[in-house]
Amino acid sequence: MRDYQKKAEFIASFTRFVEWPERKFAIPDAPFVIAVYGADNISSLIQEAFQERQVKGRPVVVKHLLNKQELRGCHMLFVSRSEKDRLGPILGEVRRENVLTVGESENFLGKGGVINFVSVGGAVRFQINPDAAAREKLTISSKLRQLAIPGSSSGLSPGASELRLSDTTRSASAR
Amino acid sequence: MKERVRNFPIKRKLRLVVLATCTAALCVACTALFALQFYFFQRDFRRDLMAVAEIIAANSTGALSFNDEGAAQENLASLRAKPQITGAAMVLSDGRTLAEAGRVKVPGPGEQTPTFGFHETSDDIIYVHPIMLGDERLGTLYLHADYSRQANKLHRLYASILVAVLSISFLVAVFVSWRLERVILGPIQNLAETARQITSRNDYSVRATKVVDDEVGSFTDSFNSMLEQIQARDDALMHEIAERKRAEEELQRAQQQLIDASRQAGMAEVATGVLHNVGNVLNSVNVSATLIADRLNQSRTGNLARAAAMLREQNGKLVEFLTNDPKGKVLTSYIAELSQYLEEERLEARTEIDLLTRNIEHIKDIVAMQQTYARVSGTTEVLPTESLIEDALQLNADSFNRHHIMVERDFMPVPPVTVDKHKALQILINILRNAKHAMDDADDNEKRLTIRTRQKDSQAVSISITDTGIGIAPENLTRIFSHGFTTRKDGHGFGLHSAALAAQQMGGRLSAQSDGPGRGATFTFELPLATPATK
Repeated sequence: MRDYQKKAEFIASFTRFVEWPERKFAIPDAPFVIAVYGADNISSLIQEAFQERQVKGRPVVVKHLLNKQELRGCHMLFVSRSEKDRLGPILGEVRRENVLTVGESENFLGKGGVINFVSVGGAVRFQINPDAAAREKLTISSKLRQLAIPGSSSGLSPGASELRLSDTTRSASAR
Repeated sequence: MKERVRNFPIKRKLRLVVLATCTAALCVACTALFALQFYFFQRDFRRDLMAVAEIIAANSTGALSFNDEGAAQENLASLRAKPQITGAAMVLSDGRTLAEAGRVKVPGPGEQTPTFGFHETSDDIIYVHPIMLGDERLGTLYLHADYSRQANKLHRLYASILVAVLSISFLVAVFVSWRLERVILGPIQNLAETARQITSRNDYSVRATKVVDDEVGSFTDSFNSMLEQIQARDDALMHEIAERKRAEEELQRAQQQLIDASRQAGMAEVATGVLHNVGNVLNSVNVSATLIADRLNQSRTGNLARAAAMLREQNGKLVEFLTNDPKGKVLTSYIAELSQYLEEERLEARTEIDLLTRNIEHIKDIVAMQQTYARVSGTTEVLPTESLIEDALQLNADSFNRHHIMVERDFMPVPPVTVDKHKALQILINILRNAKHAMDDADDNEKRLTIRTRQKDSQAVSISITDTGIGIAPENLTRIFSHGFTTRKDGHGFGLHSAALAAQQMGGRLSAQSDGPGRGATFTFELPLATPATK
């Protein structure tokens, strides 16, 4: 539960460091939509994390969606761990739709997701797939990239051992 | 101090002016420069701090957004490159401290967040900077900078630069003024040297050489023309002085002659007085001598011889003759009578001879006094004041008698005086004679001369001689002792002058006072007391 709170806050913060193409804001006064797909432990927490904050001058709407077809219209998509076996079709649905996809499954980036939450020593961290971001024409701030755990971009399916290795590198440089 | 500077030689003054000007200008320039520099330092110090804060804040938005302590710490660690920044902290908007480094103070959870900007403490400057992302405030950055240490470092640096610049420019100024002062001082020193030569050798034929054509040059010209004038005047003066000297010598010779003449005249006068006195006494001597001669002529010593012859005739019957002869009876009483008479005669002659002897003594005195008076003077002796006066009166006694002048003595007991007797007598006689003349010239008033002696003070005795003569006009009172002044038609105006001179030589003084014409005059002669050692 603590982890989800943290993840909700992170999701709220991601919006600060990511730029979407103009296309996604073509309709004036349309809200900024964050969709949650799969088991929903997080949508209320996300709403809480934003509070009254707007994103790119628009109010934030968090939707728990069940229908894949509805996913294209959102700006950000959180895919719950419950959907880890169905990631391919889900991500395929929003491919090239300029959606910032966020997941919490081990192979999320390998399946074409942009940001994936991982747990390092009990703390919530995240990885970024720059290729996926580029494909979706999302500009991710270097500040966000600095904070991400590196090494995930090389392989499509990062193993656990690789993760641990990169974790030690990260903490060494921090000290 | 000002007075001392004014008395400096020009060389030093010049140097002082150059150095003072140089130092003052440098001080002002340095102060202005350093003030500016300091202002810039202060400004740049803050600007630098702001820039650093800006960079750190911009780089820390991610770390703050995701509460990433490691990344925040890493950002702050980069501040190590800035030595003046002693501490830094990143505080989230909810008051939690995300990261901190070095010495830093952040407000506690309950405390108010300080306003953004600079906060100065005694040693540090604290800069509080917001960490913004777009319009959203993510947190606050606190930077502590050690301002005072940096400023002190700068102060010390500036102070040493100031000292170095001042000392170097001082040396340069000394050198420059040393070179330049010759330009000004050379001609002046040349002039001064000429003036010094003139004074030391008294040679006004020397001329100063004109070196430059400035104020000193024109001064040199004036100086030279002044020298010419002085030389010309000097020559004229020399001539005049020689002339005057000759005249003076002539005058002196004439004066000496006059002195001699008057001295002789004075002596003659005294001699006349002496002769008068002696003549008077000689009268008495003559009378006494005649008297004695008459007495001796009328002496009855012959009767005694006859009685003796009578006795010799009665040789052998003397007893009978004396007892029976009537002649013999008378003879005895006659002899007794005769012897008594002879005794009386002897006493009378004795008295007359005493008188005669006294008169002869008197003559001796008068002659002795004349000798004293005529003696070449110069020695001082200690004399009773009264005897001095009496001697002077004695020499004038005859003429005073003849002119019916009454002498009144008002003597107080005074100590003896140290005088040159001859000069003192001369002065007194002179005054007495003047008094006599003054009273002769006056109308038929009472001719009275009062002589007073008083002790003036512990140093002097005064003898005042007051007459009832014609007196002295106030305008003459000051001139009375000057040479050649006289009111008498036969006077030579020398008596009182020489008397006053003589009084001065003796250490005394002579003064005169008068209430005006016809009211008499008083001459006061002050004489120095005999010092105890000479008593």
